[in-house]
Amino acid sequence: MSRAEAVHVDTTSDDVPALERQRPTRTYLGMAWRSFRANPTAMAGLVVLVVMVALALGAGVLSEYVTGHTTYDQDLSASFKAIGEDGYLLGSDAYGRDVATRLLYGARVSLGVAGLSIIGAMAIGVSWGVAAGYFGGWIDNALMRVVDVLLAIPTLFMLLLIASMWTMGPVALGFIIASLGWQTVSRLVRGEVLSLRERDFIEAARLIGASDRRIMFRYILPNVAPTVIVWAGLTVPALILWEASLSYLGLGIQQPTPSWGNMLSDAQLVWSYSATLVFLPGLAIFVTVFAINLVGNGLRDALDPRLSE
Amino acid sequence: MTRYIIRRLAQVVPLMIFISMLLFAIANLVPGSPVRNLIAQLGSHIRLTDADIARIESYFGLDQPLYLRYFTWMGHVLQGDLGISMITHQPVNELILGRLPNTLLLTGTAFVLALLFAVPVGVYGAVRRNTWFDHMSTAGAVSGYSIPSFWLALMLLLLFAIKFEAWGLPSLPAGGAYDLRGGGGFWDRAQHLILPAFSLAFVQTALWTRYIRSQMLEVLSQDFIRTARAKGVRERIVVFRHGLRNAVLPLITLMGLAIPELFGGALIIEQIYNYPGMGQLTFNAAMQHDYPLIMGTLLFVAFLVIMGNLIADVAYAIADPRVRY
Repeated sequence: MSRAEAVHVDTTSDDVPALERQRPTRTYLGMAWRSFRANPTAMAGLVVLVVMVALALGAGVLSEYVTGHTTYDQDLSASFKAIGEDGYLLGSDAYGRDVATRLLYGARVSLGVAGLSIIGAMAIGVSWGVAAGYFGGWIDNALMRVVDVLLAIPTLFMLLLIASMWTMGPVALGFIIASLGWQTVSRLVRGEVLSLRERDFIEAARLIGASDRRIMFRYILPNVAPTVIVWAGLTVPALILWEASLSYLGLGIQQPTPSWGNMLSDAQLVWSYSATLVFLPGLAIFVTVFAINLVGNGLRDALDPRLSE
Repeated sequence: MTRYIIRRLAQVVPLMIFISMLLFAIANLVPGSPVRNLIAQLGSHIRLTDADIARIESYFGLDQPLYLRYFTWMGHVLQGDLGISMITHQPVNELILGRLPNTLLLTGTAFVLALLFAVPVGVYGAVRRNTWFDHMSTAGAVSGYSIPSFWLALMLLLLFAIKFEAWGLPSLPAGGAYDLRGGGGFWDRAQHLILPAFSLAFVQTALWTRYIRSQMLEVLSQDFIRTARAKGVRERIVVFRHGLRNAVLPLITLMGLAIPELFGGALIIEQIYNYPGMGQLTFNAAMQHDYPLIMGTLLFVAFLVIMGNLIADVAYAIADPRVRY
């Protein structure tokens, strides 16, 4: 996959007028999307991810019509069913609850918490980094010192400390995870802003009297966006794994709300009855994280201008 | 160089102070009085009047304002006294120092394993780009850091320790650091270390393989490599002495950043394998709301992380003669 492909004339679409066919997209986003689309692993990851999100969003519908079970109904006489037995698509767990339905609702929780966390981390990290990089001086120093302090404590330990003190729902958990994942992007953004600040167009904007706020929002922010997007694509998997780890340890999402992590810890207790129970939630986490990693790598290859194979 | 080390060491002090303040603040944010919480935890058979509770609180200085409590605690910490565990009544120092060697052994082995595997695979993948080996190892690496470490640990445990034993094959032990019935020798410890260290190293190995490969690719495309080849230098020397030497420099920083990851990962791995280390200690402390122990272990781990970063920085300064210090 080379840069030459980005300006290749796309003749595969029939309903595009003849004039359009000779004019390939030259916008940054257009070219980036073209590179991304040409990357088979990235597209595969994107497809899987879209399927996952669709499954998560449609969990309610699916549980009604496809699986025929709900998340919480227990049926102790139907525990540990094998895959496909008795109408249980993926078997049932120790309490007779349908694994497939719980995986779907677990997808909602895991993906939802991850989504919330990444947005929160982006919000905090980007504004922190832009402020530090743009204003410079002692503000930069102070802000980055705080980042250093927060980075020195291993995240999982901090999560453990905080989660052990308060039981929290998915939303609060999302915010807590966000508050531990924003430091890297703030550093990245600060670096970008430091170099952007000296560029001519920023000086020109200042000369025509643009306020600091306008410069930051209108000029700096769009230029750090690619870095932030690449970071997000590579960080969401870590956030999903943090939430899963916490739930696995018994802290994050509490039973009976299904999360892939706490489904795994439940299954661990009864591994001798059913090894598939242990296998399935972990597999769900693995597939999702793998897909997002592929997409993240594809985003980096498509958006990072410094990369040239 | 010595001045650089001293300067870096001096930076550690304010960092530790800020961390201690942060940890103290968080641990003390718990709503309600610690004494009442402890009573609620220990059981309803404990009957204390409000006057008793007030007396206990003033004895432990819990009715003092936050900053005074912080200074009292820090005073003790600086003298090396991390307090007494609320649950086991042992000094926190003893508990930590007893567990520390195990965790260091585990994380150290994982670190070495990751390095031993990642460097050859990453270098070979870069040198033989787009071959079958390269594609396989890249795919393997991406799936490697996509696997949840606790799932991998569980699967490995199920397979190698439990299923193998059920099938009559030679199996690895299912937990602990050494055989409690008279073990403790080198092989015994090594056997118990294999599965946890492997599970811990897996994710880091995958990350480092990718990183080394991309760094090597970048370095090998530079002009000075071309010059070396044009001079007729043997390919192996080009790759290792010229290429790898320059490629590992950012890796040192990455490895420094991996130290907190390893400690965090050790937390879960130690739980799964029942490995008596700092991770398990911290986890149990958090579960039991044993605040002196929690703060002691967190402070200690933060200190280890900072020290690890310092060593990484100094190693970088030694390895890269261009670094100004």
